[in-house]
Amino acid sequence: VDAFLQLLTNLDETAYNRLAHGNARDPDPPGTALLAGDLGALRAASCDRCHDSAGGSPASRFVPRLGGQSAEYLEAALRQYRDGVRESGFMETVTVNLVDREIAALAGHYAGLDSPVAVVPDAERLRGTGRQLAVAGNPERDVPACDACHAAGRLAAYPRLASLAAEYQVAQLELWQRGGRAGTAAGRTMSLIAARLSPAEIESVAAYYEALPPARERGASDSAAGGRG
Amino acid sequence: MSPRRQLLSGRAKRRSALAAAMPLAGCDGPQSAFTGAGADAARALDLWSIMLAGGIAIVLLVLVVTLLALAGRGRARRAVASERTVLLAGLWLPVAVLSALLVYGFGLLEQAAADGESDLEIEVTAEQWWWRVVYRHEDGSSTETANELRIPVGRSVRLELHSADVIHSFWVPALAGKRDMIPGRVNELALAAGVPGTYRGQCAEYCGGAHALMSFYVVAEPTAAFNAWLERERADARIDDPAGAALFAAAGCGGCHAIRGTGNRAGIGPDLTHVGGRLSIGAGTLRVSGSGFVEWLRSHQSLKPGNRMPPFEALSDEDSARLAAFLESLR
Repeated sequence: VDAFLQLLTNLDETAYNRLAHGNARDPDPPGTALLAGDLGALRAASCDRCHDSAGGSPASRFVPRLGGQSAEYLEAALRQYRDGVRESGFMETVTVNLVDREIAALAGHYAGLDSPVAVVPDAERLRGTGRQLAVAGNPERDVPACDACHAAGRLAAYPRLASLAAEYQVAQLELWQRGGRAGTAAGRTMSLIAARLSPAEIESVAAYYEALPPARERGASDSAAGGRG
Repeated sequence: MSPRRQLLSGRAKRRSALAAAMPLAGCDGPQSAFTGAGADAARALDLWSIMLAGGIAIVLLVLVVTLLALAGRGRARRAVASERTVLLAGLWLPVAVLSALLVYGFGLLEQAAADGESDLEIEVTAEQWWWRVVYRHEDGSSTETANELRIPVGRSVRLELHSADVIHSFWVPALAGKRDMIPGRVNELALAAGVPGTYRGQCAEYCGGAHALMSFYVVAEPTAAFNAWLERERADARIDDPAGAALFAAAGCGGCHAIRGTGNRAGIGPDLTHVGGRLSIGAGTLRVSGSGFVEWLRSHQSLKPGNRMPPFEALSDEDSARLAAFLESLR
């Protein structure tokens, strides 16, 4: 907030809107729409300011791109934030008043959203050391392949990692290493795995998944993955 | 009388009778050194019995001599105090007893070394906190299984013992002595069962958190049954439940576990190719059954605290039940 106020003195209108409203196309939805429970207005007023929309990428590289995640995963995440079992200074505040119907609608919206991917495909990163960890794990330290759960075709309850900003992924893995995100059952699964990763592995695997286009995810056409449709 | 007891040989029966006579009947069982069902364990038990009997005889002798010295009449006291008695009982008797034991012990070691000659080799690797078991075949191929050894009765098997992390110790008290498993070093142990049966083994060197729940079974069966088992174990998994196999992969199990004959090839955790045909889940923690697998999936971190498998409490009840049914079908 401090930094924003310092910038405010010499901001033009476009820059102001980008900082204050992120991807929201209509920065100031009428209050009546919010009161009437218009979810489009709610998204514009709240979610779109940070997350991705049809026309834009997330406002920060610490904010995950939600488009294309499964509705099941997104719904569970929103309920966990609302119920206080998954910690986030941002998300717990903005989900506190959501009812189940709104959560389901928001999850459905993002599951079907084809938002732009910020990172241009980078062949070099896709061949890097992160790929090894993603597809084969590190048996030396009992680290399973990330793709075992996070490739396309795995259970809908598991999030997809392709195209998530590296900074966001690194922040989450480090959070698990520090003992955070252990309030949910799925979080505890990751606590144990993240603890076995080295800082270099975290950097490289995050770079790999960031560069991986969602459509080209390994496993999408891999019969061994045996997805359930 | 249990089927296993009915199968005991005359020798083992005599031994059981001896054990019962020495109020040690409660010590008999699938994980007891008093069972003496293997050549090595039988020799150790013989040595132990001889030393126990000898020890008792020596204690009685000392008591008698003490009584004579305290309460004996003049002649007896003079005999006990004579230089000849001191030399005989105090010097020559210990020399003779200890020399005899030493020679006998060397004989036992030689017999144990002869047992090590075997055409059947099994590689056992201890990992925190389970046992990786690899059968080596004559054609150079190998078959991996876990937490269970099957061996033919009456045939010596050479075990090659490895450790993947810290010091463990391989001990099946009913069949053989214990042997440490040390990182970076290969130890050997000859295992032979004279009596068919199921024996229980246990890691005998503290190896970290879940050490107490690092057990395994040794199933000794007649050669024909053993060969049939090895043939089945060597084969790929027969997938009767393709939906279960798909769920296994989708739920991420394939990140650590292999099932030969499917796309799951990871070697981090135990190979599950024929897990439904084994005796235990989690290295002796639970009996293999549909409900056992469900219990393991839902709460293995409280059943075996600190084990290296990530918790899977997030799986739905329906998915846990379907996975359990699939694992049970892998025979």
